[in-house]
Amino acid sequence: MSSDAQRQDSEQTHLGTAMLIVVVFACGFALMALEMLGARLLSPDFGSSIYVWGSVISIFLLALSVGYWVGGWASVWRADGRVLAVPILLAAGGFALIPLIVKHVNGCVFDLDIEDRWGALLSATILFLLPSLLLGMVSPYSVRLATREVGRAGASAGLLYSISTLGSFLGCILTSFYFVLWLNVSTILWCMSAVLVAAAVVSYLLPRASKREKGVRIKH
Amino acid sequence: MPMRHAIALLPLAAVIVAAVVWTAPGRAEVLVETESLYHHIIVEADGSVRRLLFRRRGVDHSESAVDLSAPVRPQMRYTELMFSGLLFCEDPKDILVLGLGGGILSRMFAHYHPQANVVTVELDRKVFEVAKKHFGFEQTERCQVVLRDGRVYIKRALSKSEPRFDLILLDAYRGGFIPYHLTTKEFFDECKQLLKPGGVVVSNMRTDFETYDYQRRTMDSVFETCNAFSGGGNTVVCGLPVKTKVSTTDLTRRARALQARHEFEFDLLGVVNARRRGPDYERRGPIFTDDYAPANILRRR
Repeated sequence: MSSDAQRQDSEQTHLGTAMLIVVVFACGFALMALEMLGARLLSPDFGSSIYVWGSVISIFLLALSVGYWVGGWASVWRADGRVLAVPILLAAGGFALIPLIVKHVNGCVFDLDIEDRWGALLSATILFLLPSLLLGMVSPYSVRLATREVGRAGASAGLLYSISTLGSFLGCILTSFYFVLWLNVSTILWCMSAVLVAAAVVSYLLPRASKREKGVRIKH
Repeated sequence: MPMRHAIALLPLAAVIVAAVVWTAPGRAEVLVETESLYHHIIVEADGSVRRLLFRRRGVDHSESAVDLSAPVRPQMRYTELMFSGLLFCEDPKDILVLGLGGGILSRMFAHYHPQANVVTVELDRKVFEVAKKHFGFEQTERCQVVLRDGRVYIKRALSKSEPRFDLILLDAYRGGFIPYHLTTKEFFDECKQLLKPGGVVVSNMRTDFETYDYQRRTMDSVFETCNAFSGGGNTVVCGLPVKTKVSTTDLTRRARALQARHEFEFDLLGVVNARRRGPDYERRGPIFTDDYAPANILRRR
């Protein structure tokens, strides 16, 4: 391989990593914004008892647990930014839908007349499980995209998880401290949906892996 | 030098002041300090007066007070103001109280209306236990406590044909603020639907909080008539689903009749005198809805 091609390849890698940083940051941000608003979406029908918070947090953790696993396997099947754009775009759709269906969903669950705790958990499952599962796929998938050498896999994972969690931190604090003061809950969710659409576009435009790298098969 | 002498006397002065404060009569004694799922609960005893405080952000918010030797005598101004509801609904048969605290409101209303059903909804089981143990609160057949979120209770009641209430008293505070889902237009709509014809929703607000203007506008958007009574840093608003204009002369007449009938241990005429004439809030501006309710973020002004 000529040194020119090598340089071009390394530039592509840097650009790709920078773009992945933007994607995982945005997804981490949106995820925690949704989690912070979760209790607000449930409290009109299920109150602000501790089990409402408990339901929201446990559903998010369950969703992430499944999402990480699915995202990891998807990256084995095909490592391509265009594939990563799909769950992000679907999550964006979910975010946009929540404000439109929340009253109906809560109303239907409320009418089931099950115990308050289980009602809150059921509503949280219907509203939050899928969008947070889809966003959970992003981090492990991005780690695969950022990894060119097995020896540096830990560094890619560390960097991307750090950025994603930093996004979550900001999404959490900005939503709970400021956004709910300035905006309607539905407006915040629609803004987050727009952020996710942008992240999906960035992910779609990620530079393809070079021929050289495609030749390297990482054994799983 | 006189200045240096004065400084030398400072520690002595401090000791004297401390000793005076320490031994001063009426210093409250802390009976209970405990954590529950929702509150940092403190119970103080000052002679026969018990006071319930919720500590939040380092501030102890006085939530309720009862004099055990005179259990139906209000110790806080807002407790008296809550009786303004009777001026618009003289003979309530079913009364709903959100927020038990030391139980003084529930106890007083049950005492003066022995034929009425008083249902009190309290979120925090520990508050209920404290009310029983330290405030002499007792459940009776006609004065029952339900441990549940207030809004969920109201929604559940609405989905059934009864109970309906003549008087709904809103006093659910959590250390200086009201949980946001108990401040919204949708919530007041649900309260209104739960009223029997001629019923009144009576809401206790802190006048010195940023939320005050929002709360007033929100109630205005739901009720045809709002009457406000202020004192002691609180404003109690009576929301009526019907449009009526009552003169203060009328209210005075009603208060006299009620006072003569019940012989309250406080002056109901004083409540009428606390009536707000004009609006003391900005009438135009946003209201609280389920979609927008930063009620626990807005600060003391």
